[in-house]
Amino acid sequence: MNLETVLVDWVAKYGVETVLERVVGHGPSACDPLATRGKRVVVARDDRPLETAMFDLVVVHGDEEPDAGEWRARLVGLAKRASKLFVVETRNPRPPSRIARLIGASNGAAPWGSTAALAPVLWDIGRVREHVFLGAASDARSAPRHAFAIDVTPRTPQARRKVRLGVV
Amino acid sequence: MNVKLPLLARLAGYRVAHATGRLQQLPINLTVSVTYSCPSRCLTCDIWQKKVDDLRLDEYARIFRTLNKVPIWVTISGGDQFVRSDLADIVDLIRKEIAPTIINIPMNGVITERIFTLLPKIAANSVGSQLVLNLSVDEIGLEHDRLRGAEHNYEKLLAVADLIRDLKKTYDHIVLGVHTVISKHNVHRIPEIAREARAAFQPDSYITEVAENRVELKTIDKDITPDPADYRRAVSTLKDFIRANRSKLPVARLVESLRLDYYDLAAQILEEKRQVIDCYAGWASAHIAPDGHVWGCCVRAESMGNVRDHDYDFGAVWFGKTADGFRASVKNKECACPLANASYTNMLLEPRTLARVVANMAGVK
Repeated sequence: MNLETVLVDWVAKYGVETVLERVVGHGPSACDPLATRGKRVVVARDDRPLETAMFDLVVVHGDEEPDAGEWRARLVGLAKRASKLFVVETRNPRPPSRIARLIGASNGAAPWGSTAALAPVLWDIGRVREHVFLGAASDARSAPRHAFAIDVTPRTPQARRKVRLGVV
Repeated sequence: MNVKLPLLARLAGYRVAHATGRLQQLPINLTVSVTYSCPSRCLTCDIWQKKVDDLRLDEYARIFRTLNKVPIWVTISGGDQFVRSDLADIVDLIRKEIAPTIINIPMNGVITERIFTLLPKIAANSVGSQLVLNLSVDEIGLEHDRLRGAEHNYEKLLAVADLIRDLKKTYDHIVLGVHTVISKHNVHRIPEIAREARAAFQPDSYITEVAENRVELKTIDKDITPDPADYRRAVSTLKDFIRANRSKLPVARLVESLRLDYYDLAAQILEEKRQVIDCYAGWASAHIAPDGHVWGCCVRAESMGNVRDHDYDFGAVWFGKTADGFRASVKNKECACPLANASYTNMLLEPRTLARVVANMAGVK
């Protein structure tokens, strides 16, 4: 399983027609299969200005570690461009071992990309509907990469009603 | 005595304190009721009628600090805890100031919008502990709504269970439980309720509690407790199911192991109306009421004192003379009840039941 295949599944599952893909670093696009399926895909890289329009799906993926302290704000900013789904794909670092913590090689903080580091931010953005492990292994500890799909539509019937009525 | 001890030494210490009346320790099992307010109008509970001045967040901070991180099991109870918009902050305080192994939150699932806002924050704030979220399911569909006095409650519970399952995808410390109060209203349908609830909610654990006459719940005069024979029949099917479907999650498996023995214990207490094993409520388990009163247990709900009158020092109340009076009464077996929360601790402190729980945990039949 890789990002391209899970995106094809999620786009069908969540009724996505338009996609903004933000590639962090210099990796290849993961949305070519979506374009061939007739979805409108806009690719943005770090050195390009983003469009201001809204998209059903915003995907952010890549290997370059975002600037410390800024990545939360960057994810939240990108997620605001999504009307249905926000997808984050990144490497899946192993949590620091107990031994590493004991000998002082790690302060125990969850590293960038780990579920523990990302989860609070992703849940602030919306409802994390999917979490899949990518690469040769498909289990949490040994998979090299993982991806999250966050549902950014209003979470409750009350919240959806408020949006329809223009209260928020 | 106010020193941090390893768990086994602490358990031995409770037995010494129970036997001698000396060397009391802080409790390992703490229930914190954060409000009596509740939108449900359950046939088995009138707690919503009680109105008090709930402790504020800053007051909880001062109280929790004085517990010296001794409690290993903290239950956040109500009322409906989600009435409080600062519930996630209370969980954060519990995690930072008490750092228990398990944080347990029973939930009625009524205030959906608040739950959907707070539960992700509660999940984030409880990392480091196991977070057990127990959904209260007393019947199936509309009959549940009738028993719980809340429209669309069953439907909302299903939505909350769905949210919890999503949370589990990123927070592996969460355990989804379903909890049924067995009362005269549903005792004859327990096998069906258990089967359907398990299918609909797919919980990691399914547990039940006996509807009791409790001072806390204002149910002293309610005819809700099932006939002991009916109760024994109901729980025998639950035990069969547990044995046939053991959980792989450690916390859920521990709860099941306790339940396998607890159901017999509860039935025997209902039949014989006596303490079948020694009760350690007031020694190893404690309850803080929403307005700061400290109780040994919620069934008697007798105040040992109020932390607001003791500079928010839990120990000052817990080690006081009034608390000694409560403990003497419990030791004299002036009460008997099958309260599950306290029973768990009692079972771990009784060598024979502890041995059976360990055997249950290991899968020995």
